[in-house]
Amino acid sequence: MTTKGTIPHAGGGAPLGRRILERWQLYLLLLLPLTWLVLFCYVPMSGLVLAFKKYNAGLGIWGSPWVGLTNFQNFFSSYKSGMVIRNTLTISLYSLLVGFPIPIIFALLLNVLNGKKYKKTIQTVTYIPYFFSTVIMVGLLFQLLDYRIGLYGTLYRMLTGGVAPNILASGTNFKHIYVWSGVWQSTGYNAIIYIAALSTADVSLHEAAMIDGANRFQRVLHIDIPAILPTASIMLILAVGNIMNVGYEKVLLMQNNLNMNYSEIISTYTYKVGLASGIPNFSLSTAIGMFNSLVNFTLLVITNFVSKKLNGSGIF
Amino acid sequence: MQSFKHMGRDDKIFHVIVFVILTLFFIAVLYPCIFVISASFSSGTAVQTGRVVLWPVDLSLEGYKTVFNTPTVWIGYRNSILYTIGGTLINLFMTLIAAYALSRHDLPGRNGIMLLFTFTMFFNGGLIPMYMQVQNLKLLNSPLSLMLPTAISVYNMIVARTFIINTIPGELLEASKIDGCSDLRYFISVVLPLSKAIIAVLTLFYAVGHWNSYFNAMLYLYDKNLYPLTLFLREILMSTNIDPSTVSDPELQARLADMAAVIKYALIMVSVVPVLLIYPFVQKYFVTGVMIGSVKG
Amino acid sequence: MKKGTRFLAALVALIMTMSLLTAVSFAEGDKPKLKVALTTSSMVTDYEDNYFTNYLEDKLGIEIEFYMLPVDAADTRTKIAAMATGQDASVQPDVFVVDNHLSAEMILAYGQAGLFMPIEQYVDDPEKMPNFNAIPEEDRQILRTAQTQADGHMYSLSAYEPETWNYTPFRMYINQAWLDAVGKEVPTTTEELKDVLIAFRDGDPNGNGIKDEIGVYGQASGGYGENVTAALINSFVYWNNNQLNTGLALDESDYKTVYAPYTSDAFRDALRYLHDLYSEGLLSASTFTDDNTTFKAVLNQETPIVGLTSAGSLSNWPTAVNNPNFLQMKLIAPLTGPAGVNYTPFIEQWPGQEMMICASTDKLDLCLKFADEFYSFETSAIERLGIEGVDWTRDPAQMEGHTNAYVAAGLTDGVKILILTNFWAENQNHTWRNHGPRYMSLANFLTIYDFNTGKYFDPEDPTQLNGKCYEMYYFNKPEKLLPPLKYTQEDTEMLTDALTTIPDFVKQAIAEFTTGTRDIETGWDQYLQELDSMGLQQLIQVAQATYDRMQ
Repeated sequence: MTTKGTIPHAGGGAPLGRRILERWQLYLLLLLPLTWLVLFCYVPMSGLVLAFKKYNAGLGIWGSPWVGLTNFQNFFSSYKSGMVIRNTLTISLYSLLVGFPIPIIFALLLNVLNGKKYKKTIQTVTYIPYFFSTVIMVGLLFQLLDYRIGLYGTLYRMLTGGVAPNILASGTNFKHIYVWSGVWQSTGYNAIIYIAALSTADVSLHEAAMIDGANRFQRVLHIDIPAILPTASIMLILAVGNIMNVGYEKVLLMQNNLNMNYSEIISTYTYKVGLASGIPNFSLSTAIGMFNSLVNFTLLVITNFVSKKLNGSGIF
Repeated sequence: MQSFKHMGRDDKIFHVIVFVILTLFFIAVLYPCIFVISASFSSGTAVQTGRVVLWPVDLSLEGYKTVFNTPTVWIGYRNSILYTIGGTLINLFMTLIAAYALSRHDLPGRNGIMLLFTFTMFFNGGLIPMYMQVQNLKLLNSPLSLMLPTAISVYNMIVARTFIINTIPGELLEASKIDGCSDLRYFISVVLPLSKAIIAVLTLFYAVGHWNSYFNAMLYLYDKNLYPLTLFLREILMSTNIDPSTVSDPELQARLADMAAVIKYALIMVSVVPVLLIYPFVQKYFVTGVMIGSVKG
Repeated sequence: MKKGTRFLAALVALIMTMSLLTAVSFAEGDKPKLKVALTTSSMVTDYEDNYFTNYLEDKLGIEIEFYMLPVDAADTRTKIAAMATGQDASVQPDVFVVDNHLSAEMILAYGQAGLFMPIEQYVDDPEKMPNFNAIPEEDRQILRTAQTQADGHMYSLSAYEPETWNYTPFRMYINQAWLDAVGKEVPTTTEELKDVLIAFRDGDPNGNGIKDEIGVYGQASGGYGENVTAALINSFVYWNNNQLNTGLALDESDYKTVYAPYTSDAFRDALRYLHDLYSEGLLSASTFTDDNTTFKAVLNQETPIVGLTSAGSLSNWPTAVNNPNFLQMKLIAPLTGPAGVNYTPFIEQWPGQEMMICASTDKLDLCLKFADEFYSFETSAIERLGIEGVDWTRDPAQMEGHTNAYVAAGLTDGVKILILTNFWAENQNHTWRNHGPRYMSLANFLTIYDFNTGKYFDPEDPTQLNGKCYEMYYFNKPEKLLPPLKYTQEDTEMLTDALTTIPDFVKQAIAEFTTGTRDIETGWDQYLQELDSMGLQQLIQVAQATYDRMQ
């Protein structure tokens, strides 16, 4: 099953004009998506100028005065900027290291599992928690992890006889709780794409390998993993390109007075700036967003380059 | 599939390990599901005081009664279903045509166009210019405002494109070209039928996205009869997390939160049902899969 | 092609259904229309077929067209921010009713941006706003001050209902059953409290043989009196739990100087006291980490485990009236500290800003008439209490034999309004759930029967605490409180970092000093330095200037 790079360019040596003309139907297909792209992405993108302006609702986006790099300076000189960038990176790198491979492993294991019914049940049940809103999941998490009345506290007491330490009170635990509860909630959902990719793997390869005497584990390594590798590469590129974005909602719900030094991240900080100053500070949030996007985009381009060099799959 | 009995020793051990790991994870994830079901059948008092741990406490249907007697919920339900179906159809159409065209290696300018798309995943003007654009296109307070701005998720488009590139053998394109098949016909009669699995995934991703989204509805709609279910759900969920400086009477707010607690879980149950219903349909396509070998043969 | 065609057909059909949905035709009447942007409530079942809507339409001879705003304050703020930029007269409403969801800074910003109309000239005109001008002078000035922005204009109209229960949410409850078990009296000072707590710790007052008693427990992140540490700190120095003006207060030596209580030596003493309680095992660190669900769960354990807590709402003990956990608790007065201080964080109910008139309206007179109507007694009462004769009554014949906590406590003569239903706890279409400007005097409020419990007053009922709370808490505050400071836009921008960082940092430091992560003896100077580096001095200066300007 060789797929990559085997399609010869239509009329490889033909002049560009002719090659374009030959593919007119493809451009026709792209017409609608490109129109959409202009209307709903590139026209509103003009709002990025707000990062260099002092936004005033009365004057509108274009009428607001230019302030140069003031918004960026305000963010980087703010008391918390070093801490929030550090926390954001810690949390997102940790999430990536744990949250990226686990759905893949889960999908591979599920694929190995015998018993169609049990397999389907696991698939369905693990997919459900994704739909419980963050408020519910965080509430439930706190209930479970309470050191007196929660499952954690009760188990601890049963096993050791003493009162458990309050793990929610320790700031250093924050990242573990955040990341692993994310695994708990969304592994099933995130694995769907890999489950789908595995379902397209060639059955005849498995048959051939079995005749050659390969055991199931070897077949996972040599057949299943290569089958999802292209998908996984793209997902990894996309995930790396998302490293600066850690949503504020869950973190905000999990913050408390004792973990603030570890839990304040860029998005929660931006959110609070908007609350405290009374007016949503669109200029500052645009500037911070732009900074994040620059970092993300750069990382994506680098990963994309590396991935293309390594295994040929990339976005562009 | 090989039956357990006939496996070699290595395979047996491997299968047992897999079984144990998956079962442990299954139990961990089953817990919140059971909790939500139990909570939805328990009395509000029991839920609020943390007495529901696994099974329902003070069995009660008051949550469901309130939910079923609230007309807003049903209007929201109807709207959500319509927006999800309509929005997902638009999404599938737009995503697939873009993903197919951009999957073709022989499309001049392909990487440039991909870059144009990818760029928008990172850089966007934010809320204000988007609102103004929606307003300028006369889409405010229209259901289309929930479907058109989100017509393509570039992320999903890239996933779909990767799928098409990697699962449809290049030989098929060559063969069809020799047969004089046009690019459009190739898309409809070869690519689409072979992309069932990814179409299933896209349907799921998009439908879930529409079903869960509230922000655009909150921003663009102002007629309560057009509100989706999520806006209502959010009102209920957020009412327990309210900043008292923004309400005129905190005591009354506390009472409201009490009421919210009673119906919270019943409402979640009601809102999760549709996403549960679509999953088996999607699953069907994973299990059968698309056997490339059989196509070739 | 078949598949594609079917697909397309389905798409077209769907889009058409959608557009049909939007094309809800409005019945044409000859009554003038008023487009009202209204913050919704999920507990109102219907706005069109709604008693209050119909009442206003009939009384004013208008037709109300709704423009719905979200329930959540943050959502409403986002939506109005977008509306302010995309000002398009064809979709813009005539008036906004926002349920206090906009801060003073926002009202000022959108006023100056031309979304809200400056209305001071009409507000003081008895011809235009007769009901507003009929409000007793003293209260009317409170409303006017609250409405006046830093630029001298008024862009909003307020709601003022001085309900005393909401002023002092940091009500402390001690476990009376435990007091009896260990043979102690109700503590009145911080020292006595410590003594009681030690007895609680060592005496196994809940009698289960396990040392599981928590002495002091609260929820620091709670917004309605659950932060018990704030209640205790006020036995040392007045501090409003950062709930207004970033916690700043007036210096009690002159009541003119603005200062930050959390930098004072008295505050440091309070932290020493809290740390002492913590290290003796008398105060639980989960006070700083628990969320509301856990807080309620801990308060309502089958075997009670909490000795002292503070809470604004009795809803923390569901069905308090027969909740065994609550029935063990007894309301106690603020404790007196070593220096004789016994304040409580006083959350003055400053008038909330409820209604704005859109600057682009072409129906100004109608808007003013509409706004003013809310200030008539009848409309204000319906707005809050529901349908007269169904939900409440002022028929003297029905008052017979009824009393309330305030009357029982001798604070007022007798009941003049009687509540007949408990519609606040139900889905209903009688009102807009108290969204809108309104006015009810303290005197009027005190004559309402105690409706918090939704049942008739019974002096034996331990949950009808309004009168007791008024006596025990209402007067425990400094002579003069810092009113809500209205910063100019420039000031707000300059202070953004301080306003964002300081309140959280102070709360964090309280937790750290209490639990010993920061040392109160060696870490205090660094704490002060950190506050300064966040811009505290600048904040105080601006606050002082703002306060002086407002005087």
